[in-house]
Amino acid sequence: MREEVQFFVSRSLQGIVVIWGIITAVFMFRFISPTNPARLIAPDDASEELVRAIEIDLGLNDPILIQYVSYLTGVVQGDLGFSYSTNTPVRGRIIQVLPATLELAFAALIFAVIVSIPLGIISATHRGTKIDSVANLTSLGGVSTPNFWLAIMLVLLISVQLGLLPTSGRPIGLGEGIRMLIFQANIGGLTTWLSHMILPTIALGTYFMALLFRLTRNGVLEELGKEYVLAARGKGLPNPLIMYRYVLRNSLTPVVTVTGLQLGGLIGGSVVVEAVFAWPGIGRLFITSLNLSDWPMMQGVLIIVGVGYVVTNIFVDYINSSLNPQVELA
Amino acid sequence: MISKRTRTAVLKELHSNKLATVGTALILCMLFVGMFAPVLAPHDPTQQDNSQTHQPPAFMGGETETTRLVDGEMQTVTEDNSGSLTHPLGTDTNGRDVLSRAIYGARTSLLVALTAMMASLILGTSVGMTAGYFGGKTDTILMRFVDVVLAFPALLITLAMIGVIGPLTFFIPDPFVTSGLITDRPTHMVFPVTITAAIAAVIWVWIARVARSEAIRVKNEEYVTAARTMGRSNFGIIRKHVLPNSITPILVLATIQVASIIIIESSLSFLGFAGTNLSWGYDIAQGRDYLGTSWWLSTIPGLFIVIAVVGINLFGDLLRDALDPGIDRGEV
Amino acid sequence: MTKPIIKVRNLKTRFFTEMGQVNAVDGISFDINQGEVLSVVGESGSGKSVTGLSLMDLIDSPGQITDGEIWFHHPDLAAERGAADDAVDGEFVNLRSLHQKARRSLCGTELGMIFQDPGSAFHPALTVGEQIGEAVESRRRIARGEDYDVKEMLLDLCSLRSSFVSDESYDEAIGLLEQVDIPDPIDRADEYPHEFSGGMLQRAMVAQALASDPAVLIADEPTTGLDVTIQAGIIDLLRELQADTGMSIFLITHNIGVVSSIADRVAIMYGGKFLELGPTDRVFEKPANPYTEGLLNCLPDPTDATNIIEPIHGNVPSLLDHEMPAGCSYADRCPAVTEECTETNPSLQPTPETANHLVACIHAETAESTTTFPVATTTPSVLSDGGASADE
Ligand SMILES: Nc1ncnc2c1ncn2[C@@H]1O[C@H](COP(=O)(O)OP(=O)(O)O)[C@@H](O)[C@H]1O
Ligand code: SF4
Ligand SMILES: [Mg+2]
Repeated sequence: MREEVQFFVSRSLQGIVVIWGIITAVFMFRFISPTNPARLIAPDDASEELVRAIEIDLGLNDPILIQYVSYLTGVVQGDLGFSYSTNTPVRGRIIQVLPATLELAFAALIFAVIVSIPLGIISATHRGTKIDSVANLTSLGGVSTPNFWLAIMLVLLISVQLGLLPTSGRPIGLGEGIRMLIFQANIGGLTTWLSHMILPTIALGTYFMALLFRLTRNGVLEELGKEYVLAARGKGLPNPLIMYRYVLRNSLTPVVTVTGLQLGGLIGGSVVVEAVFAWPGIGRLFITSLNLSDWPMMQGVLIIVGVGYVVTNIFVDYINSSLNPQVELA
Repeated sequence: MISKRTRTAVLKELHSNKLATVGTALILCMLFVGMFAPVLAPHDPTQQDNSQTHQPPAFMGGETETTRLVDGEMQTVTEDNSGSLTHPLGTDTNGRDVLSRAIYGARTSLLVALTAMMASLILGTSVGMTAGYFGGKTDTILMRFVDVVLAFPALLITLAMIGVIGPLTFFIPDPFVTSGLITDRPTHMVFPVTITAAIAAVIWVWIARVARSEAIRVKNEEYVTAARTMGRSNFGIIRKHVLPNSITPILVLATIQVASIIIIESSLSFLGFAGTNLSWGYDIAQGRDYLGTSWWLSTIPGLFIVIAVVGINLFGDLLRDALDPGIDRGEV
Repeated sequence: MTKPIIKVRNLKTRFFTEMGQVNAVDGISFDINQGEVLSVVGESGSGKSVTGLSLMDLIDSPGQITDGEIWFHHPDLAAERGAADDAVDGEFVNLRSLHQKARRSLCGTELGMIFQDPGSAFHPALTVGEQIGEAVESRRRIARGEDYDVKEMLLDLCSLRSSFVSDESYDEAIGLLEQVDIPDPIDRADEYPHEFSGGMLQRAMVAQALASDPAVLIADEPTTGLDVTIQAGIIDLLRELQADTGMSIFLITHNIGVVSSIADRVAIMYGGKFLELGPTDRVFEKPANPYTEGLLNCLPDPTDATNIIEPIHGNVPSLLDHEMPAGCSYADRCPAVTEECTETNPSLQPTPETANHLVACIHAETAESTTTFPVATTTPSVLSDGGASADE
């Protein structure tokens, strides 16, 4: 327990340094960028004076240090500023679209883990057979296919040609679907949600699945050669138990690490997948903001994603050390 | 810079591994196609022809019945719309040749990937070597910086960099056309500076990380200590000893990262930040509007991407197996 | 009267590697008698470990036992299967023709193995008590005919610190740790392997092997890598345990001192084959094979516990099939070599004075023998300690 508290305190301190770096970097991005926010906010036919007035109002003429400190204090207090294009608070907008992206990212994560780990085990235990070769080639394809193109191919095949699933959109969120089920005893919400989730999930999760498959397969192969696996057989334990108890433990360490780290990758990937499926998430918000040079919005998204990454990382390290007592918590 | 031992290891792996041979062949093919695009492309990729729109690839398509306005009244007409060898992979909505566009797309991809990789290599290796070799404050600051960049998904931070840099493109005269060897092809190549710079601004961090850990490993070797006691300058030691002994893992990582760059480049083009319209991602985006009628428009450029990336991945696996530099796969 | 517990006949284990076929064990035959210590010595790479692993059926791809029989004395199993079964011969059962599951069960109940390197034979992420407890649990479940089921594993998946070991089994594991003289067994059981010293971990390894209550204990270099004083402790422990339980020990070592202090019989292994096999004092006093002689000559005092076999000049022979010589595998290093040696492959033959002292050498004096080795299983076993085998 003591150890654990110590771990979280020291890692949080490190994390805070990185988060401070993230906020600073994000501030610099806006500062360096060629955008003049005042011109964006002002109407197209605004006079020079109006633009000047807005500049002063936004504090753009203050010394950089003042601007930086006021941005930093704002962010620390949870104030991410106002959108240049809609003049509404950035935080509210992000909270509004975040569930869509998180649902998608977690669905993709679960899809990838559920498919890749059993497949990796089967492939490793059947090393050199046809099953192994097919699985290996598929994973090569998986890591080599851009997710947006895979998304389009899925739409082409499943939605356009076969007419099985909707092509795009997210008419209903998971929370709303569950509410309908509970309060109106109507499963329709959930099925609609599910039918819209399937293609984006596959498109986003495939690369990740292929990556995890490789890691699992290599990890299991490595563990199978270990002497303690032989020793376990010598004790008379049945194969499934040996796989579960002796092999997977260590071979899953890199899988857990990459799973945690890739959560960020999944959010990055969702930028393009959301574009294909008109998915109203954080990725689409970012692209729209980029096209409008709406820096406060972009800064907000970057900070949320970056902080999310730092926090996940701490937990991934914690899980790994409890899977593996040799790894000291520190 | 490539030692004999390295060469033998790679050649041996190449001999024993069929897939590696395929990968190497694919890479060479792509380099060839990219370099000689004007010669290999059967048509001008920008040439529009309104009489030849939406032609399917050769040997595909056939007679279709459509109802449309003919001479002022609705009629059902039978049209022959089958592919021809003139446009082996069909034409797009403006009658442009899909194959020629894909070939020129390879060129853009290569141009971006290789330039970005060169820039990242130079920057990443210099910074990583300095940090690893000197250690101390330089190192701490660099590592914190690396942590910050790595906290963002590569695609997201690249997009942010695009916003920071603003749109820039650069035109390079096409040597085949300017020399008069070939006519009827675009006279200039478009070099998308923004996305190249944005990608390099992110990828160099990966290189720097590996360069740093390699420098730390090498600097404690005996020959480096010896060189130091002999009074050689730090710069001289890095150039003569540290760099040559750590270059293999760096180059292997760089090779693997080229695959990531190609995927990022196509994603950016797909999202509309290409800066050029001769790019695979751009064509895939254009073809999306015609999925129901002209499936090949999005499919074909995507296949080119997959083939190129498979080639690089296989080649990267080959280098990794042959040289075993002990690095993990980078993630997009 | 000594009776064999295991009869090995013409055992061949091969590895199919990229470099070619490795004949790690190349047609060896021997018996292990009930309650005896049979020691195998040889330079490293001569196939000792592979022999031990083959007895346990722990050979993995790219390796395979390609030929031979391993007859195990198990009257119950033999009776259960009936005499008509090809896998049964009297009270003996051929382990090689058992199905994997039955074979594995025997590992948990009749055979135990001490691995060469306890540091890598314990899983680093499970406590020592847990791992020994699993061996106990496994034996109990096999005895009760009970299996592990999927439900149990799914339940386990939900908790990080979980166990498949019942309380009784865990207590028995602690008892075993006590039996091998580990102080504070209750506390130590809850520690991870990396918290143990080398000697203590080797003792824990012995405890784990004992958990299956074995009739035959296979010990692969149990003293290698330990301090001399700790080595002596382990050997004493093995000797005590053997006296208590009456089990047989198949002791692999390259420490001649260990052999002379504990082994009833010794086999000299070289290039995947046995070059000599006989009672320990007999072999050490009057070695019949030039290789054995060479080994012993390097040692001033064969009873000294620090005597580790140093390779005699020349390299350890390649076990690659295509590089193996046609004749005697020792020919290129043997001081007594003649042309004949490179042509004929010598087999184990009784020496004139002692019938249970066997030697494989063309130029050694051997008793006139009508049958050449290896032999069919019904042949009287000259390999065992002069006694008749049970099936006679
Ligand atoms: N897993 C394996 N794969 C390939 N060859 C092996 C393997 N295990 C053992 N061998 C080969 O078998 C031979 C005998 O090894 P071993 O029995 O471990 O020797 P030792 O007498 O030192 O215990 C060695 O030459 C080794 O090359
Ligand atoms: S057979 Fe020949 S080579 Fe082999 S041990 Fe005897 S004398 Fe030496
Ligand atoms: Mg050994």
